[in-house]
Amino acid sequence: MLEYLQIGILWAARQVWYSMPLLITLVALLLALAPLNLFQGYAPAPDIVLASVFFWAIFGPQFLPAWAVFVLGLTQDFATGAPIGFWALIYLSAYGFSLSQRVFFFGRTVRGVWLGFAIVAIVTAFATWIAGSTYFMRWLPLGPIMLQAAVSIIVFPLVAKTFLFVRGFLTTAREAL
Amino acid sequence: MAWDRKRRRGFDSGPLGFITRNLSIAFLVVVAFVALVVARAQDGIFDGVRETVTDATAPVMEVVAVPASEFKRWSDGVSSFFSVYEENQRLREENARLQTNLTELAELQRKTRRYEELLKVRPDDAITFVAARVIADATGPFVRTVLVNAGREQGLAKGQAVVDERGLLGRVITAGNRSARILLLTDLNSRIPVLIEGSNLKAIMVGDNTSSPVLEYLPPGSRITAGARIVTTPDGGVFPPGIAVGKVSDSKSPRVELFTGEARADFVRILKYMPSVDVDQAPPEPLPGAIAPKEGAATGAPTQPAAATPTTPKTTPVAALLPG
Repeated sequence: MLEYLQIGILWAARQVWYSMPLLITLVALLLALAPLNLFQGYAPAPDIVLASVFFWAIFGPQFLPAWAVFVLGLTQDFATGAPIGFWALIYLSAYGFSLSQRVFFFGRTVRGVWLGFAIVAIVTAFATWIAGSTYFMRWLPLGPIMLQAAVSIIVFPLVAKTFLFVRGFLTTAREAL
Repeated sequence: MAWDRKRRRGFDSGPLGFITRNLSIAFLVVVAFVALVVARAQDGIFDGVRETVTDATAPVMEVVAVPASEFKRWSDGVSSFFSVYEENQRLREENARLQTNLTELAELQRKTRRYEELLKVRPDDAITFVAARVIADATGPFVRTVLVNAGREQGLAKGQAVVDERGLLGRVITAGNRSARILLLTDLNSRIPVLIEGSNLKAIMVGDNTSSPVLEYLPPGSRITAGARIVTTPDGGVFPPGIAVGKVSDSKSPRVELFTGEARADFVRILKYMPSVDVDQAPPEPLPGAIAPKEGAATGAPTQPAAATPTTPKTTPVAALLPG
């Protein structure tokens, strides 16, 4: 009986350990919502969730599976007041797209991966714009969406460095291949 | 390679990981899409869930907001340190000007009171308010809302106007027990009836996710001057009259430069002015000549939400709430 309990606790601990990318991204999402109002509100906060989704899709999709991306999207929907399912749909699409390009991006230099994220961020921004305009049945201003994509691209190396550090605790490079 | 497969760690890292991963993405995309379609078809269907989730996360957001607020105060302090002399000069001049205005204002108030007495004008209803802290600022490129740490328990209800020390900020869209979401004037879904002072023109101020909302439904051929002050009207029974909103911007299209601007206040005031209609479910205006429904018959408009007892109610005339 005690053995089963030990196995159960170990299994649960391992699941929590593997959920580190999800938990860190959730914390970052909540922190990004803090009323800091940097730059007097003229510069948007970077899309940390998108950066996380891209990073883990390339460098360890087993640590941020589709359901975790769905949870992140749904949390963002609830937290920001966006239509339910909107960000979940956007992030899952970005995740699927990044995953399909994984073979191409994995093992590239920092600049190569950065360029990859830039492409994904711009494509996602356009997808967000089209999906948002369709949902609200009027053209949304594209400028703020692109501005957020630009801010996200700028801060991506910092986010990637943090997640690389986290990834070091979860797996070895050879196992992640 | 076989060694790698055995040793790989993670959630869906088995030999079928690739297939389950793609299937789960496809399945969840369908779930998200269905949720989106349902949300679009039945507006407000997820409001209950949203309120529950917001209430649950509000304590966390509140904890996060405190250091954020301190950091903001510190960064503001650092940036103002370099301009302290100019700021002091400016404030001295402004203070002198305001002292003069204060005397004029007192005289005008005395006169207005006297005229109102003579004309037997019914005075404006006094409005109570609740002060709340902004605990989350979801002002992304897509949605413009903020979360405050007061809810139904403090007497908040859907539709109430929210102001800060500069003017109108938005209105309550969902109110949980201890938290509420405020839809800012700049949000795509914001529609506010306003009055352009001077010309006495009425319009609807429509948010479009930019910092300057648009004035729509202006009477044909109407001319508005840049800089004209814009205030709320009681039309539609949503907002109390006379809350300062902004001024007409210099641009060619009729846009509004909001007094609240892009910088957000740490604290806001929610005016406990009970809207006479639910802004989202109000029945359409009857057509001219249409037969009016009988008194007391069901009109489709919901009853006013029960006003909860405020924790620390303060009674102030609306005009005194806002300097505008």
